[in-house]
Amino acid sequence: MRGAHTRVRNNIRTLRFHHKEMTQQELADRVGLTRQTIIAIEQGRYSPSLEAAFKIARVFRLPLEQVFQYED
Amino acid sequence: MFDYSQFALAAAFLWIVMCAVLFVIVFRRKYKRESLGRFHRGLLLVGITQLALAPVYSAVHYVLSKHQAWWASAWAIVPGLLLIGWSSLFKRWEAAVARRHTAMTSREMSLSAQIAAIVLVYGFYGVQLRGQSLTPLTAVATLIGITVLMILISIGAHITISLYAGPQRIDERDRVVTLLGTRNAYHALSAGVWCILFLAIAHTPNLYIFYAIMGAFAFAELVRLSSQLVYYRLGV
Repeated sequence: MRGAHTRVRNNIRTLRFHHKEMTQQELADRVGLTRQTIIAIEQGRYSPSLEAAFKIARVFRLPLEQVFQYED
Repeated sequence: MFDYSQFALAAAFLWIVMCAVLFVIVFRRKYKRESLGRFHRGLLLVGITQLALAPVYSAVHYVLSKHQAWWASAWAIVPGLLLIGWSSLFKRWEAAVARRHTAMTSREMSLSAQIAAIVLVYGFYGVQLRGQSLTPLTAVATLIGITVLMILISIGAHITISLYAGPQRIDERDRVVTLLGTRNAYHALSAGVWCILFLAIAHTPNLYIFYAIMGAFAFAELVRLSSQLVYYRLGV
């Protein structure tokens, strides 16, 4: 366990809001994850795999670094 | 020894009146709204009632046994103080849960059910078999009994959870959590195997070896399930 929160930050909640208030379930269905995992990613309790991160970025039609940021 | 003189009766009466006043204050003013205050109102009121009953406990003890015993009131005072303490802790716990998460997911409920099943079944068998000498036949029967009971409880719990929460699919996070939990269980099981090896080297009777194996297995399972629960709640 690497701690309660990961160092990977993300703007998924904001981006969902700007994309016609997309629900967590809709995003989960589009990237093949569960809603609980989307919640965990948004809250910084789980760092997604590269594949899942690319899929999420593709849903919002943005480059990966505009969705996810790594904090030093 | 405490003497039930008129002074004691007056003190007991005063005690009950004070508790009654406190009860009314808590009930009517400060904690009228359940969501406010640092104490859970229901638990607090029950705690104060317990305190108020302290002299009654002593009196009942005196009537029944004809012996004066001031310590009988401790049966009311100790639970009363504990309830008042819990009323504060319970309120904090409620606030912490409300801040942190919503309800448990079906996977967390499933893990909790399995943990409860292990604790219940192994605890029950542990109490039942304590001090008894097992033959190989009864040892095997015990093993089969535990396994069957665990399976039945797990099936029942999973059916209930599925009816309540609906079917759940598995994704990468579930697989990561499962792997991490299994890794932790491996360490626990390894430690158990080392302990059992030392027991065998020390010529421990077979019965205790049997208990140790069962204990190591149960411990590893508990580590696996509880660590998965922690990973789900706190993060991976």
